[in-house]
Amino acid sequence: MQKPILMPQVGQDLDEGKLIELKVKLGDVVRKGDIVAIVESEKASFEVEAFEAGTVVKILYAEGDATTVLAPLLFVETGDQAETAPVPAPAPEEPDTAALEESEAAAPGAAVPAVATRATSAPQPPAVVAKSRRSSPLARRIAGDNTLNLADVAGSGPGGAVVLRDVQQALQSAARTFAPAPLQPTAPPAGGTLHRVWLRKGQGAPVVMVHGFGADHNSWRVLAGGANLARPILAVDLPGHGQSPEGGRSLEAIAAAVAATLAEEGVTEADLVGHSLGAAVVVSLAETARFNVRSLFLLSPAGLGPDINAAFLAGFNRASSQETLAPWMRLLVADESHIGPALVRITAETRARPGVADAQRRLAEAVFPDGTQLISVRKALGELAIPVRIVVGAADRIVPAHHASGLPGTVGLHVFANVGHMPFLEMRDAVARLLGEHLRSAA
Amino acid sequence: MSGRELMYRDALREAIDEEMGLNPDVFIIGEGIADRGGSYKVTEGLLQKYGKLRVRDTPISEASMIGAGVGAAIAGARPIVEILYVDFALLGMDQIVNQAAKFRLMTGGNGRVPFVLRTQGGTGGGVAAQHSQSLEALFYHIPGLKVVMPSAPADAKGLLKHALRQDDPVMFLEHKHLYMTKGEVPDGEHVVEFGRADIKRVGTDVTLVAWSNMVPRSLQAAHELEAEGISVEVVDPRTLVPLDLPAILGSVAKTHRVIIVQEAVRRGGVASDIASLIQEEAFYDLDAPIEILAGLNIPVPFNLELEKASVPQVETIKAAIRKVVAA
Repeated sequence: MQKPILMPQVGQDLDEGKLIELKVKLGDVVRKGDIVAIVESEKASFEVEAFEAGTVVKILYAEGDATTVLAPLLFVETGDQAETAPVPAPAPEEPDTAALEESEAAAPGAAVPAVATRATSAPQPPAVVAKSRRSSPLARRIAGDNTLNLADVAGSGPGGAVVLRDVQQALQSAARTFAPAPLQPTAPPAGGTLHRVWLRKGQGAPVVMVHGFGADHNSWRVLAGGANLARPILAVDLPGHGQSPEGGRSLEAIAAAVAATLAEEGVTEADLVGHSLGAAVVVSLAETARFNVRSLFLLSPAGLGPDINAAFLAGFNRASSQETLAPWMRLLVADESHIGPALVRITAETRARPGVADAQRRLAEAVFPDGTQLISVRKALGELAIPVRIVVGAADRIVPAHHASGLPGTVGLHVFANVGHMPFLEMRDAVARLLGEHLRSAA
Repeated sequence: MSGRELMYRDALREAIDEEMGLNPDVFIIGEGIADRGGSYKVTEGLLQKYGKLRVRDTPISEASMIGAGVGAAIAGARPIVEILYVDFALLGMDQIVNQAAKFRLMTGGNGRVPFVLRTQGGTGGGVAAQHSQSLEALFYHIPGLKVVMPSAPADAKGLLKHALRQDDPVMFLEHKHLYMTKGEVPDGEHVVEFGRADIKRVGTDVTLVAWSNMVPRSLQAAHELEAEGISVEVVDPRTLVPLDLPAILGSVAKTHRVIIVQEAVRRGGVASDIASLIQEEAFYDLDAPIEILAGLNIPVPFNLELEKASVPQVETIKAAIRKVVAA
């Protein structure tokens, strides 16, 4: 009978790889353990081994082709006279043929569970399905979240325990069967400038709000809703964030993009509010703006000291699911109850839009490489002759609160104890009050 | 950030020197710390700079030294008491446990005990059972004490400076093996607050939680396993009390697999407590059982080969990583 040799799982998140080298041609006889091909993922190359002896009878790809993970690369004729469908032999400790058949049926012609690549012997007769199987807590949680029945998943952990990789493979198989339509790329905003939203409309000079790294204009809704400002509020999405296209990655380029966006909205006078990276952006903007900047209100500003939490940036940028994003987002606050599932979900969904996560990663690598802030607005801040107030949380785990010390005495500084990097989330009412006082005094 | 390459002991000296210069309340007492500059040369030169009232040799009487330190702290000074081996700190346990740790709360928060006990522990060099113990669990167990275990020169400096600026008794536990190790220390003012873990190495496959001398060993193991395609994250809590649990949980949420490495004996150790906290807070993030790698439940042997065999080494850490990643 013909047996497939599968493209191996080349990385946890990848479902495609590339065939680099074919070591066999049609008609070659291979022995068990022979290397038949080299495939590669973004990071590494892998040898593909024959798990059966036989003759190569079918090769599905040429060198250089993209290949699908866990789908057959080629077939060998083993000479066995098996009657059954080409079900690979399961892991010897805990055969679970029925489950294998079921998951294969769910993904015709494509997925075969990972156990297949571990099979070492000729087909075995169908065995009894284990009634209760061991599984890791994480595997149970992810399976539960995805309404996957663990009894249907072959386990590759100790004693046949189902672990995360088994659940991921089962979910991947299911996903290939019901592949959703690709997401529509977000249309670039008109004029090639940045996406912006009027959170509050009205007459007079607006309050312009610029969010921090990894966020978007929505992060201001809590504060804008809590502050009774009686002023128009315009929130801008930074390049590569929210619905803005990727842009220049220097502080000056970002400030210029914000300036062009404000010009399009006809802004000639404004108070600027910024958070974290957005705070550095508005300082840079105030320094270069051709319009009248009345005041600056800076929340947990970046650009005042040398260091920033590298682990946070790396973890946030790498996170590809709500599960992996959540622990990093919790670092943003001191009281972690402020980071609810909805906020994590929305952030994950935004980052899942085509290009967003990559654009943000590139931006972080440009302005915050190696846990270092390459941007500095300390000097600019000292030279501005407008009212400036800074609000920080003493328990900030992203940008140390002490960065905000040692500024000119004309800069107001408010430090909230037991508050993290997002004081406007954790201390909404107090920050709204400060913002109101600040705007009134600057008017 | 610019910095200099310093030895752990030099970084400690810088911290003491800077804080003594800034604050006349800071003084240091210990055995052979003045003229001799301390057995590990941490206090070298301080006598000449600050005089014998603030850099003071004591007789060999740990109970008196610790008692004097705790008393001075209660009276408003900021003493550092250097104890040659952590093993000898046991002579002052009543002062540490029943007096220093309790005073602030028993006075309704009115009293303060800014007492820093600097000492060193751990194996290295065959100094046998009474000079090789890792006793952090004894202090970890006592509410009211801060427990600090720096693994790198920069952390040693920053944490000691912070210790001398806060108001609670601190068990500052150095490691005899680390004094001569080098590392980058930032220029200028460098203070590391308690309760902030440092991710010494970023990885994706498994989290190693380690402190003190187990950090360089874990980093070496992680480095060697890179060639096998295993990506190891090394989290150093730096202070065991307060413990930066969110940092540990954040790493676990990413890797789903944890090994805790401690030099101290396994039984009743800090690693066991951290494991229990992880399973309580992050059970559904775990894809494999938590592994603890610790010293054997025996007094540390005198024989060098046996000494090595009694505590985790690079090879044992590597074996544990391979096991947990494969599970």
